[in-house]
Amino acid sequence: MKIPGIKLHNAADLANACSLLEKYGESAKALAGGTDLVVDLKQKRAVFEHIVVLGGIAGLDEIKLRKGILQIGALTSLASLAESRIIKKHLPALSDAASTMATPQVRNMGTIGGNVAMAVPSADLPPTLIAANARIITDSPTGSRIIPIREFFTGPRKTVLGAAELIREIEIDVPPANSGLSYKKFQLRNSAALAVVGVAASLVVEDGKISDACIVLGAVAPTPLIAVKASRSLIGAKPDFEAFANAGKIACEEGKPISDIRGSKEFRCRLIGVLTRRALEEANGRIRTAPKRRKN
Amino acid sequence: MSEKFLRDEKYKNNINTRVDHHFGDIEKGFKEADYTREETFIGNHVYQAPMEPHASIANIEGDGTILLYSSTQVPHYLHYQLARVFERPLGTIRVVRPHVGGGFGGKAEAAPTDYISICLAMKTGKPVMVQYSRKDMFEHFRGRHKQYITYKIGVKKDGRITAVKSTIYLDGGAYSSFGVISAYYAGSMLATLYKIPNYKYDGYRLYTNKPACGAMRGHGCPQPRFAFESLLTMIAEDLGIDPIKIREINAMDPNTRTVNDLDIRSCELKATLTAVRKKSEWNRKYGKLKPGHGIGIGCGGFVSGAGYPIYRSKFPHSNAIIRITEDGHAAIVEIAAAEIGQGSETVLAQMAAEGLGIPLERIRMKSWDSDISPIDLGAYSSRITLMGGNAVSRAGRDVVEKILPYAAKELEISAEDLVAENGVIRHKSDKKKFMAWSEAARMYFSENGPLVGTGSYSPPEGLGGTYKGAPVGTSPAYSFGASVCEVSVDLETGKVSIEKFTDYHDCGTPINPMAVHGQVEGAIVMGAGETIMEDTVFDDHGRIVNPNLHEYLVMTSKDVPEIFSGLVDSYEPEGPFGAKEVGEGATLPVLGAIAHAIANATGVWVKELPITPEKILKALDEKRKKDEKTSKPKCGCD
Repeated sequence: MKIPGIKLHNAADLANACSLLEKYGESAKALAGGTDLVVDLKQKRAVFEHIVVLGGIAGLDEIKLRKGILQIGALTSLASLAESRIIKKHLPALSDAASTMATPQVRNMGTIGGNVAMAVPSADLPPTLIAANARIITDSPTGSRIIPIREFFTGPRKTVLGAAELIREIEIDVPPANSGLSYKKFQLRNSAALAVVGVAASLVVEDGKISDACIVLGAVAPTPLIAVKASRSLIGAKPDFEAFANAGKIACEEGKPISDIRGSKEFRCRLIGVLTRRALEEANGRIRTAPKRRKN
Repeated sequence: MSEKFLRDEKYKNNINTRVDHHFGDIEKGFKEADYTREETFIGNHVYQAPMEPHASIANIEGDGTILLYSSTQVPHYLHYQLARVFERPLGTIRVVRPHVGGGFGGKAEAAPTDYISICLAMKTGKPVMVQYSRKDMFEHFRGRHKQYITYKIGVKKDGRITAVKSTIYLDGGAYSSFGVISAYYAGSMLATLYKIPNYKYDGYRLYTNKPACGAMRGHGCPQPRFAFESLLTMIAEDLGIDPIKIREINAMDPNTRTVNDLDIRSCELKATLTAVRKKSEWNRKYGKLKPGHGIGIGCGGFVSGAGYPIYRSKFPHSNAIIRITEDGHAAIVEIAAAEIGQGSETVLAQMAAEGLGIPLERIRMKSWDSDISPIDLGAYSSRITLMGGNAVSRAGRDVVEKILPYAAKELEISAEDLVAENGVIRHKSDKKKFMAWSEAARMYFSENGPLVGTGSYSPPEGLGGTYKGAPVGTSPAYSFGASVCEVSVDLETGKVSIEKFTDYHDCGTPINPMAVHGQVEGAIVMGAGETIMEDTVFDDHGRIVNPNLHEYLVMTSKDVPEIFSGLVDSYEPEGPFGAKEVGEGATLPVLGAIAHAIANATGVWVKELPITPEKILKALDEKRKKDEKTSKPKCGCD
C-alpha cells in the first residue's frame, strides 16, 4: 500500500535532518525504523507532508562501552539491543525488554530512539531506561543537550523534544556490581503483543540491606511512572520476599491504569503487584557482590 | 437497545431462526438418571482471519461474458448467485478461482467485492479490482456466532447418558448469511459422538446490530461442543468417574443411527480414546500434577461433506473429467474443487492417479476455471476429500475401462485379468505380462479420438430423517477424534501456557498422512487461539474495537504447543479408498480439552470464552471467597 502525498527527504547526517525538520515545521516528521509512523500514516492517524528519513545516517546504530558508560546510538535496532553482548553483560534487563517486543521483523526495523521518542505509554524500553537513570543526548539547530530520561516524557506520545530536535544517543552508566535491574512484562500472547503492564525494578544492596531502589511502571499511566512510595519502602530493608511483596502492594496503589481491550483497571493493578515483586526478585538475583560460597 | 432498532417485521423479537427438536423423551430420560447437572456457557465472536483479504477482479469480455476472478471457497455457489443477481444464464459468466490464501468459512458465499467489481466493470468497460482491507474483512465478518448455551445432562451412576437438554441462543448479527444452517448444526451435530437416547434442542438465532455471522471451521458446533465436553467432564468428576472412561462408556459405535436420524458408518472414537490415553500418559498424570499444571480431555468430530447442497438441486455434488494427453502420458484432471490452502489439489491428484493406475507426477490438476472444470460444490463442510475424491477416482477408473480392451488385445489376456498400476497395465497375478499404460492409451486415441473419462459423486439418497431441519448434519460419513491437552497456568497472573497436545483422529484411511497432520496442527493452533485469546470486541454502538491483527489476537508461533498428531486404523466404505474428513473435525476436541486442562490446573472452570487470564483470576477469587465461607466453623453443628 502506497502512502499518498508524502515527500521523502534522505538526511545526510543528524544536523541535516534537524535543519530539514526546522525548515518544514509541523508538516514534517522524522522516520527512523518506521514501525509506528508508517502504520500511522497508512491508517491516516497521522498526516505529514515531509518525511525526514534518518536510516541513511552513518554511525548512529552502534553500541559502545566507554569509561564505564554504555553509549547506544539512537538508530540501534531492537534486534541489536536484544542480541548485543555488551548489553546482555552490563544491562541484561534492557535486552530482555527489547526481546519481548513485537516480532522479529519489527525488531529488525524498530529503533531505541524511535521507541523512546514516540513515547507510547506501553513502550517496553522506557521503564528500564528510567530505572537505569539513562540520559538522552539530543541534537538540534540550537545545539546539543543532555536530558535525564526521568524528565523526558510529558504525556502520551509527548516528550520535551523540540520540533527540530532529534535523539543522537542514549547513555547509561554501567550499574555497579552491587546492583541489579530487571524488566517484567505481562502480555496476552507471547509475541506481537503490547504490554498490559510492564515493570522495571532496580536495586542496590549494601551490607545486606537495600540502599537504593527504583520501580518504574509501564502501560499503567499516561507516561512511564516511577512508583516513588514503593521504591522508598525498600530502602533499608533486607532484600527478601517479604520486602518485595510489600513493595508490590504499594506499587499497586501508585499505578493509574485505565480499562481497555487488553485488561481492566483492576486486573492491571493486580499485575503491577505481581510483576513488581517478580522484577525485584530477579533484580536481586542479578546482584553480583553477594559473598561467594565455597563449593563443597 | 431501542425497540425500533433493527426490528424486522418478518422476524418477531428479532428471532430469525427457531429450532424446536425433540428426539426420544427427555422427561423419561431425566427420570431414569441417577445424576443430572445443568450449566450455562458463553461463546465468543471468533473471526476466521485468513491471511489473504477477500479480492475480486472483474472484466467484461469482448463477447459480453462476465469474467470474474475471486478469492472464493465456493466458486459454484458464487457462480450461481451471480447468475441470479445479474439475471443472466450461468453460461454467460466465467468464474476463475486463483489459489486462495485461506478461507475457513469466511469466503463461503458471494462477497460484496464480487458484485461491486462486476458492476464497476460494466460501467467502465475496464477491468476492475476490489479488495478488502483488514478492517473491511472484520466488518464483513461471517465469523462464529456468539452462542449462549445451557446444557442439562442426565446420567446413570456408571456415567451412561440418559438425556440431554440443550438451549442455545446464537447472536447472529444483522443478516442471515449461513446462520439458519448454523442454528441447526449447533443442535444436530451433538448427537454423533455419544449415544444419547433422549435429546431436546431449542435453538434461537437472533438478529443483532453486529456484522453478520456465518460458517466457520466446525460450523456452529465448536462452542456447543466446548460446553458439552466441559459439562460431561464436570459430571464425571462429580461422580468420581475418569473423564476418558465416561467418554468410552458413551462413545458412538459404528453402523449406528443416532437419535436424530443421522447414519454413522465407520466410527473409531473408542480407539482414539484408548490411543490418546496411552500416548499422553493420562493415567500417570491425571489428578497427580502439581497446582498450576493441568491435563484435560476433549472429543469432537464432523461431517465428511454435507449430505445436501445449499440450494435445491439434483446434480451430483462433485464432478470430474479426466482427459489423457494424446501421447498417453499425462492426465489432465478437471474438477472445480476449490484449493484454498488445505491441500485438496494434492489429495485429488493422488486419488486420480490411483484410479488411473499411473504415477502421481503424470497428473495435472485444472480446478480453477469454470470454463474448463465441471462443478464441485466447494471447500466447505469438509467435503472435498470424500466427494471430490470419489469423483476423480471414478473418472480415473472410467478411463481405465476404456483402455483395458486395447491392452487385452495386445497382451492376449482377458480384460478382466488386467490391472492398471503405476504406469503399466499388467496381468493381475503374472507380473511379467505387461505393457506401458501410455501405449494402451495411444491405441485408444488412434481408433477413437480423445481419451476422456468422467466421474461424479452424489451422497446416498434419503439421508436423514423427515422432520424440519433434518438435512442439516447429514453426511455420507463422520469423523471422530480425541485430544488431550496439557497446560500450565500462572496462578498469580492467570496466564495460560498451552504446553502439549496429543491428538488421535479417525479420518478413515488417510490419503496423505502428512496433510492430515498439517490439518490437525492447524486446527489445534486455531482452536487454542479461540479458546484462550480470540474475540471480536464491540463498543456500545456495535462497532468493532479491534478490527486488526494487532488487537484481535490469533496465536503466534511462540504460543504454539508441542503437538502429537496420531491416526487410528479406520476404513470408511463410503469414502474414496476408505477416507473421511479431518479439516474441521480436528478443531472440535480442542476447546473442551483446553477448558478441562485449565480447570484441572486451577481448580476452577471458566465457562465463558475466551478463557482469559483475567477471567481465570476472577474465578479463583470467587472460589477463594466461597472456600473461606464454607471453611468457617459453624456454631452448633455436629
